[in-house]
Amino acid sequence: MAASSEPIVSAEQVTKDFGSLRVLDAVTLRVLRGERVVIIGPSGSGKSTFLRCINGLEPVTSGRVVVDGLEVGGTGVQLSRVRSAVGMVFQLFNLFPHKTALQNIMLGPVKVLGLSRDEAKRRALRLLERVGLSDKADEYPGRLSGGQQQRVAIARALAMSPKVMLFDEPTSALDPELVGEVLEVMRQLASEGMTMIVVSHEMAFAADIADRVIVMDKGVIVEEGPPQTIFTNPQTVRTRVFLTRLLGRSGKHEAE
Amino acid sequence: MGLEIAYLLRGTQVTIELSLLAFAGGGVLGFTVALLRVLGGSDVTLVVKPLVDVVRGSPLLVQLLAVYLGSSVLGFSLNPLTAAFVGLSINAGAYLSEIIRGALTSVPKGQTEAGLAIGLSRMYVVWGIVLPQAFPVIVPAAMGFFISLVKDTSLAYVLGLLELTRAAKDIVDRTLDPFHTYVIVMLIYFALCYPLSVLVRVVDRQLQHKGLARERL
Ligand SMILES: Nc1ncnc2c1ncn2[C@@H]1O[C@H](COP(=O)(O)OP(=O)(O)OP(=O)(O)O)[C@@H](O)[C@H]1O
Ligand SMILES: [Mg+2]
Repeated sequence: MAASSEPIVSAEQVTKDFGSLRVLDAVTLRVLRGERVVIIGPSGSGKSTFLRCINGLEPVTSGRVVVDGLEVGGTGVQLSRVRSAVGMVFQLFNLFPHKTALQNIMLGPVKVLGLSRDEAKRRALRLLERVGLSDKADEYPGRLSGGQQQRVAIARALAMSPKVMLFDEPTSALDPELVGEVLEVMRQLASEGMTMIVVSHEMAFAADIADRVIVMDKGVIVEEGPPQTIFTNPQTVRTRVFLTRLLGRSGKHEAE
Repeated sequence: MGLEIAYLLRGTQVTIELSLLAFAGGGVLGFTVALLRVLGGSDVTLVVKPLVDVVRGSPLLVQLLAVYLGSSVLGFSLNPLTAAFVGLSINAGAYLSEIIRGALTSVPKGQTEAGLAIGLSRMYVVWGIVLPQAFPVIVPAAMGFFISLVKDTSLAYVLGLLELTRAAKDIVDRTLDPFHTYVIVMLIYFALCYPLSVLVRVVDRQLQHKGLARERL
């Protein structure tokens, strides 16, 4: 385990309501520096909402989130500081379609970190190389495959030199043959010691990189532990039911 | 006959000037209102939306009279041109704010979230990420609105402003030939508006083409 004993993300008793709907119910999670946490759970269990609370895209109803000593929330300036310390990768990539791959990556470093254009460009090119897309620097997102777009999106997040990376089902919108290239980039990141919180149902990947798997259901953490335990010897009924459904679904998927 | 044409052309000039001025005024107003609503959230909307609705939900003619006659009651009587400019700008501002706001909100929310997630300010996200993507929607719609604005300036004749329609009325009063006069006036309005509507179609196609070019090879 590459993790140190110092939490870099700590979510304490995080509760989130949308109107009368309680989506997160007193969720507490501490993630250590260098730790890789994979979150799984049925649709609507609050996984995305939880990630969005960690970078302040969604304000919490009660409880608190602290990232690298900074409380998430407060004024625009403080939020911006937290957000640049937290990289986020979305299911639908969300690249800016009117900017090239290079411009997508340069935007944050120039506008938020105040880097010079030259410096930002050098950083962006280095990152494009790291995700294997040096030849696509001047391409617009619409002309890249889903897998390539997601790799640019990862590079865009990394360009802020984040302390933590959040991934919200980064491969679930991809054609099956494009999943591998994105997971490969994520594996490489993990091996470099990046702290990662990943929502993903790629079980083999989770088993491979996760230090800890969190199972969420109906807004609470129902179980957590090392991947071997969660996947082969789940302790709660809810986890067992979820895993059975998931395996059934992917089994059927492969049979098609 | 020559004299009458010259008179109509002078009216046409006023019509064009008033259209451009009101479009500029309405553009600034509409843009400001749209940005305030998008950035300011529900508090601003609570105040601004009823105003926009009242302007859109009442006749322009009444609004022009309200500005013109209202201003003199309030003691700073506006001349007809200024009153027409103010009234038309307010009206155009309300419509343009809806066009702009609609275009801004049609940009997928994921774009805003991706911008915020890298630490950009809300202001920059709207300005640098959302607006450029809304632009291809705003431009043709705003141009289309300008065409109806040109025609709507004819209502300013009730304020006594010597624009094209008023010029026609003056001529008819003198020559007693409404038929020929108004046919000519219709053709002048048409000559102003039709090229614009062709232009809207061209621009629309160009913008769509550019969008598609980014997406495909
Ligand atoms: N902005 C919102 N307004 C109202 N309800 C919301 C909002 N965002 C999420 N929800 C609701 O919160 C619940 C949890 O949503 P969330 O997206 O966090 O689930 P999830 O675990 O990520 O699901 P999935 O696996 O489908 O992505 C759902 O019932 C959803 O409908
Ligand atoms: Mg989700």
